[in-house]
Amino acid sequence: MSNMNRNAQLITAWCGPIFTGLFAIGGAIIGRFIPTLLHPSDPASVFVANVVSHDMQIRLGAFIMMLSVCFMAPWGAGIAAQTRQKEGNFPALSYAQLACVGCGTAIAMMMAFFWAVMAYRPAEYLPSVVQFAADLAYFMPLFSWPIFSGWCFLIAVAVLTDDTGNPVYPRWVGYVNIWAGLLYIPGGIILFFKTGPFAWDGILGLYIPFIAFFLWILVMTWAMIRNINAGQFYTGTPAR
Amino acid sequence: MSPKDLTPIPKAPGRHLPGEAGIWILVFGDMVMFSIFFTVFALAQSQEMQVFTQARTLLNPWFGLANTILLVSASWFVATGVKKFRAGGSGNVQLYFLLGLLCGVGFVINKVFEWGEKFRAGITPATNDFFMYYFIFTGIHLVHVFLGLGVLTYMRGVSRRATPGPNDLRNLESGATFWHLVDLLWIVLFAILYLAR
Amino acid sequence: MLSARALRATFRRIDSITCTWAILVAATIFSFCVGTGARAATTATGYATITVLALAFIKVWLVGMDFMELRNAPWPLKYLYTAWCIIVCTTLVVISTV
Repeated sequence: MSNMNRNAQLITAWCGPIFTGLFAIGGAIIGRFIPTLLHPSDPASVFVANVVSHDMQIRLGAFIMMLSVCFMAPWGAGIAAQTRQKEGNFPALSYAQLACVGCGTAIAMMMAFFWAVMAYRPAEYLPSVVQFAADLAYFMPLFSWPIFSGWCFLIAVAVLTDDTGNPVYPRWVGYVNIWAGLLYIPGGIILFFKTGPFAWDGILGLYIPFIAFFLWILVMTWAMIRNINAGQFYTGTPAR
Repeated sequence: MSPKDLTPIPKAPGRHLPGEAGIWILVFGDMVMFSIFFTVFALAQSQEMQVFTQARTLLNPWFGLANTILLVSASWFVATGVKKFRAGGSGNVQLYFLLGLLCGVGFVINKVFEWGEKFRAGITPATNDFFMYYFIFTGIHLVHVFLGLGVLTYMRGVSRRATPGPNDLRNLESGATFWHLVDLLWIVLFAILYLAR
Repeated sequence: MLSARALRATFRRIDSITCTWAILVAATIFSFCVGTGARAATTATGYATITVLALAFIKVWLVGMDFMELRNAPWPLKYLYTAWCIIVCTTLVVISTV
């Protein structure tokens, strides 16, 4: 009985690195999502030319990206399961986290959707449609920063406002969540720029939020596994 | 727990970590972020030196000077408040945090006037690259100022408690550390945006 | 209640913070003069830039050491902070003057 829950938590925790690894393969290496193949400052014809010349690569990458982002859901649920244990009968923070996890996963899926459809028949779409699909693919994960920042801040609150002396995660993990949440914010500025560091191919618009996100995943995964190894898994009947 | 329990913590030589580890992760993380901002700005400036030099003359350095003095003074109030609290505290610790808060509010008001002046002159983040960086970086810094004002409000609340809690000093030190971060980031922004070539 | 000893100890500590504050304000005003003066200048703007940047990071270092109490902090933290000041300052100076 106890092993089932322990294993369940471990599985959800490892979904984080799996997500990261698959996204690295699908989004970065194969799919050319990041570092960017396309640039918002390019005219639509250049978009079409680039997508057409890499169409199979992008399709394969998008397939793997879609697979990867679906690992975000169980991983996020695993965090909420751990914070829920500290919240007792009214686990508001944990439920709010789950809402963010659901939204975040759906949005990440949309990113993969648009990246895929963009390469479905790029030569037959209007060039501006190809450009539009690319814009949407990037806006999805970046412009949606409030849901991801909110997710981080909820975890931070769960950790930092815990005055029992034994919070669900070490206090520094709470601070890392604040930092990560803040780092997603520049992703919202991409709306105002088509070139430069704040555009969706820019260092501050794209790279920093993405790097912060995946570093955060690794930190949280470590924290989850640390808890499991410390014996924090469910044995017996519910506490309340 | 009486205030006497919080009389000066004996300083083991070189060993006191202000606040807690987590706040320093946040602070250093932010410092690294902003150092990327600064570098990006400097690189962009070296590409468009003329545009940047010319645009900089449109900035009013007196606003920047006033803002720097306000933040540095706020930091004085905050640092002093923490030291007083650590030394056993008295009723007026909260006054120091309040005064720091007021300096911070002064910064915001000053910023409103400064940006208002720019907008009225038709200068926006879209005007040129210099002003893009100027508005976005000072804007992100302004977000930090607002967070800092929230932190100072919380600190004032903590210092007004009749009986101090076990974590109060740690939390005050953490909050103060964040506020000083806001201060130090502005010192660099002032230098690179308003003063340096 | 504060004992006389605690009061004096506190006063001495406040004093060093006030001293730092005074240095910061003075350095700010000095930078202001150098920086705004350099706007109108056509020569030696490189020196003005270096001065302004160096002063800025000395100020930042002081804020860390005195306001943020890093002087008495564990040395890794102290040296990391100092290293950041030096590295970032150098980077900016190099980019701005090369």
